[in-house]
Amino acid sequence: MTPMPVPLAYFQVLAGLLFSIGVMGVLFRRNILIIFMCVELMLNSANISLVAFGRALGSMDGQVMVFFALAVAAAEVAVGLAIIIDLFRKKGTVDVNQVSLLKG
Amino acid sequence: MALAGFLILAVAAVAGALGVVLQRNALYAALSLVGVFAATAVLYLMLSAPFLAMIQIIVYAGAIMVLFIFVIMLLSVRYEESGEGAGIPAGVKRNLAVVLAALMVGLFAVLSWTFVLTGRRGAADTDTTSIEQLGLTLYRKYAFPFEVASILLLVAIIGAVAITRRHGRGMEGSVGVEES
Amino acid sequence: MTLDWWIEVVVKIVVVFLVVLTAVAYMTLIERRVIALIQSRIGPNRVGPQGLFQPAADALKLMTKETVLPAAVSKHLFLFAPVFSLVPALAAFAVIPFGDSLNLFGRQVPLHITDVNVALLYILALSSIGVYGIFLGGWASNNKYALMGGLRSSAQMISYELTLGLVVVSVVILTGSFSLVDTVTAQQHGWFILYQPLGFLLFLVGSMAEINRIPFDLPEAETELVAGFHTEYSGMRFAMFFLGEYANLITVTALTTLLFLGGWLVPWPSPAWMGPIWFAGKMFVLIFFMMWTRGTLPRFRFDQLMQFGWKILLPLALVNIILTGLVVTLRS
Repeated sequence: MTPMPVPLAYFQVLAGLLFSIGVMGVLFRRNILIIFMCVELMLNSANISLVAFGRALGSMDGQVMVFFALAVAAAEVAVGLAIIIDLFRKKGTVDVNQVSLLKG
Repeated sequence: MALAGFLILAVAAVAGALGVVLQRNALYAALSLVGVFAATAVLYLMLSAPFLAMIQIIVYAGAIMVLFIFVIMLLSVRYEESGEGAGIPAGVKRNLAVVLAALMVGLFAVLSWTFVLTGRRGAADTDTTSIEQLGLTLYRKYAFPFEVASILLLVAIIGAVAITRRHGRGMEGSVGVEES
Repeated sequence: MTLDWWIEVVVKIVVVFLVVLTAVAYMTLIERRVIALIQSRIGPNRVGPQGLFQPAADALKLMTKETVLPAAVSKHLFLFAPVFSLVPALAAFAVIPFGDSLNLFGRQVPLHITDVNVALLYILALSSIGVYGIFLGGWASNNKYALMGGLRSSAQMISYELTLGLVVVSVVILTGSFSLVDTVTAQQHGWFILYQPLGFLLFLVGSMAEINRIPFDLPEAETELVAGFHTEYSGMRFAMFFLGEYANLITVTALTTLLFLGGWLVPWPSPAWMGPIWFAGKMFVLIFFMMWTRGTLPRFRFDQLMQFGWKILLPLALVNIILTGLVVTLRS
């Protein structure tokens, strides 16, 4: 029955701020590795939000969801980096503006 | 005092995130992201999730980011290709970025302050530690997603190997493996 | 969080820090003497009686040596990489218990800096961070030998971390807790080496690979790859890598003792102050064993090393978990 050390809202604001910084990165960077890192940043911010809510509601579900999110993020990074390596081998660049063969 | 700690961690996390988004050098960006993950791990400790904090360090900072940094090193990608490129001009970019960030922060702040939530503990958590609780929840209530997650990891491993395999002898891309 | 508590914690931190640094310094001397005996020579015995001031002489030398900063390195990474290597090695001692509680100055002082309930995971997390120092040092040196050595060493470390983690899981099955103090108290009816001989062997071999010791020291050996990831380091920075490696040795032997050899438990009833002495004794047996293998075995080639870690140790660790789980379930 212990209250949270810091009000829940603060954690949500932090998560929102990190998420929006991540969105900025995905929109405005051209290096695909950095774009990928910003995606991981967004996932991480969602995890913070989940754990904070789990703690506020006294439920373990928040932590379990983060556990699965972590596993999925690891799998996604493995496959994503494999694709990036393959892309680099074929195109010689990691600039997303250069890999626009399918662009209309 | 907890508030002071939270503020320090929040500043560190935001500084790291800005570092990821703003740095030219991909390796330094990756190290900034490691800093964000470390700050997140300490936040989890503050939120009574010690197991998750350690797993965050082991998995995110210790495995995922190592993988990222390996790829950055192997591809020798140091600087983002600078210069022209069709795209939004810089001034518009900056303003758009600030507006979007303010919108999101504002939205979250409004939503959060409308929740009247103080910390409430669930009913049966006074005698078991949080790791035991986590384990019980994971293997009883979420047993099926757990199995699916393990299959997902298997698929990811197979996929990663299949994508990066060079057809032919197939081992030139690895570090120092001799053909024995 | 009273003043008493603060004083206790600060004094413990200072004591542990000094003891560990001194132990690390004298470990270098002990290693050189032991290796020398194995190789039928004497080893350093000139500086002070039986060479006891040799570590001081080495420290003075390293501190006064010119720190060469090569021109084309990434300066910040180069300067910061040894920190990533040394700090996790020392930070692990925050959770290692040296004994049961003692009655000092009129209060019960538990002989550990802190007892978190995720202590084993904390140590695994620190070893994951320790990998960074190695490959960042290799990359920052802007030297192809250093880079190869750094990448190989980190690949080796992350591979063997898996085996260590799985063996820890089987120990946790027996203990029911991640706390190190609980692990030692659970061994009162028999050290875990009796219940998990395979786990003990796997942990020993895995930790030798984890700390880059012979026979697993290909990535940093002087006869291969020009000393690997610390090729370009000199003076105090090299000393930090070096200290980090020996501190890791102490951490790993302490962990093995805690997990499998009963920590500070004495086989017969004894006063509480005998605990730390027995703990140190058990650790020294393991340290001697590690130095013995260093003097005796040749080193693995890198692909042999990786095959050994993935194809032999990892399946054995999984089998160990299955067996442990089976036995525990069938007995209860």
